[in-house]
Amino acid sequence: MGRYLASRAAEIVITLVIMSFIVYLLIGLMPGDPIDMLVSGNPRMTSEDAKRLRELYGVDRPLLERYLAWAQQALSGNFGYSRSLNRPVLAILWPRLLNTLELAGLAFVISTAIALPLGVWVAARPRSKADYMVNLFCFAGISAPTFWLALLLISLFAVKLGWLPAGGMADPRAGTSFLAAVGQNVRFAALPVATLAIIQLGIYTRFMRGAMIEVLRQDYVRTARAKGASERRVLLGHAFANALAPVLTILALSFGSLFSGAMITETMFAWPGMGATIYQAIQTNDFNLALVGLLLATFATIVGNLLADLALVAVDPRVSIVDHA
Amino acid sequence: MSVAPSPTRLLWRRFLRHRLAEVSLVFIVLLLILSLAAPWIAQLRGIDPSMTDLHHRLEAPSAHYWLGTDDLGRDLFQRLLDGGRVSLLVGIAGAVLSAILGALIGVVSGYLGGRLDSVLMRLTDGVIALPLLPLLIVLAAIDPRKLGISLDTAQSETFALYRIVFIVALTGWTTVARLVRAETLSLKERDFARAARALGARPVRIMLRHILPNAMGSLVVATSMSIGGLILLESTLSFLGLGTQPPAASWGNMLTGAQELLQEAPSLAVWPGLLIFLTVIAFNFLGDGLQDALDPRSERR
Repeated sequence: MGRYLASRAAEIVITLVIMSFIVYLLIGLMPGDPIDMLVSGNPRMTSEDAKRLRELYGVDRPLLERYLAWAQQALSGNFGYSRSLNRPVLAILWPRLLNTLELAGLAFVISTAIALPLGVWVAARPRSKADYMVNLFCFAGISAPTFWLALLLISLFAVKLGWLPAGGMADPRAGTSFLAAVGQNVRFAALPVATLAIIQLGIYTRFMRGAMIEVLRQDYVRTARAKGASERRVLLGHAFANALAPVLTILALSFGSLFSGAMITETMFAWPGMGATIYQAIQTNDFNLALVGLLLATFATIVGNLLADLALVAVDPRVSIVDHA
Repeated sequence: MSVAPSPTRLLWRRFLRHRLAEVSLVFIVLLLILSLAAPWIAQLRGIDPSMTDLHHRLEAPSAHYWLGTDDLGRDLFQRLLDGGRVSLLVGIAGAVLSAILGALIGVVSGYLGGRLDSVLMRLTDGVIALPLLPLLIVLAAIDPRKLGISLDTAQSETFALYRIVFIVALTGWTTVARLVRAETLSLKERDFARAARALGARPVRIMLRHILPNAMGSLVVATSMSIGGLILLESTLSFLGLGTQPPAASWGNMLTGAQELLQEAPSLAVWPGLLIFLTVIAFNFLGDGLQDALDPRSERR
């Protein structure tokens, strides 16, 4: 176990180093540089001043040198400031990471809570009308653009019916009772969570159905039926447990796309999460915020992956950690 | 006694058994024809879709403006066709590019194996697992002039198109690569591949002439399945203002301003989104149908 975790940790570090370099490189290729912003903010600055500032801040240095300097600072815990918000980037990003986890976590729980039973249910009756309808619905979920779905939900529930807020996040005033605060939270979270959950639902259901159908063809399922096990027991006791392992693997791989989906959902609903923050940072040339935000998102995704793999070990005795290491 | 049908015929029959795939194919072909013929349709209707006309903003559908006009007085129907051309082109070109990329990576990885294989597969897993959209947004926002591309080229419409095709292709290759690798692993042990090796054929020749042609079926399926996702990605980037740049129309950028106009003109938010949705679902059904047709053992039968 210790060796396995150590090798996974090494993997995470390597991924982060590679990602940080790629992102650093790409962000350096975005229009303008930090000094341009200073110049445009101060009309009295001459091009001489700009040149001197570039030397002072080292913007004229070769890329690798700048990256190493940044990495050294980052390793000592200094991730720098956000230019547009004038605060340390980590202080901005932590609470927003929590907001994203709330949004993505709720959407994930809701969509898997529906998708797994639904997938099992239709796998038990392949080619039936119900299977056909669910399949159609899954394809619809996979094919709907996230931002358009958000737009439709806003126009129906916020604009037309006026039931739910079109965007933002609950900000209960001091003195609000706990229950009322939770109620407010739910009202604001309802549409973004629904958007993200609907988008993931189709994919997850198809995974589950596919895995179940694969397992139901195995000999031990036939044996279980032959010895007279009830259909319920065959499905849940024999097949589901075995189909869950591949599904968990794919679920772990979906965290990255869950975050990408959350990015759009957050932007559409003005939900103050990581995705929306990274997008705004890119739009406003807040290089440092975008860079650290992207790394934090990557880190969160890989850790999520690792947790899912550990969960897989817990549910599937055939997967042992020693084989992995 | 009837003559046995050819393999292509059999394939076609199996494909047609998938009704949704059949309908989807008709829809896609129709959309392709309409959007490619858009300039002539505009001429016939006597409408210039790029001309803004503030006297006719947000008009309701009429005999002249079939689906009404947008917030700048442009004909919505013609803009939808123009946007469709971009979306379909980017989706199909991106899918072909990612198929080439994925096939090469997959066949090399599977055939040569060893260290290279594990590095390439790690890379593939990484691209699948990481939050890709923010990276693509950065990629779409970079300034091409910093890469030594002249201002004229950087601002041309063709360049913008190539760029978005390239960006979407960067995400599409992973599925193809994994699939082709799996096929390669089994194909390279088959007798014809062994025979080619025994005859002294070099690895490049075996990969290109013996393995890839035999993996063509799954390659086609994977490519057709990826088109839908790539069209979604293009529309998302364009919606965020980072893909197809106005005044050029794309279904994504037509929705950019729609959120503010939800009260005034809800139809502006409906049509482009509906077309993205229908097109993507059509390509997904098409891929599903092709898979059923090409893989006789596949479950849905």
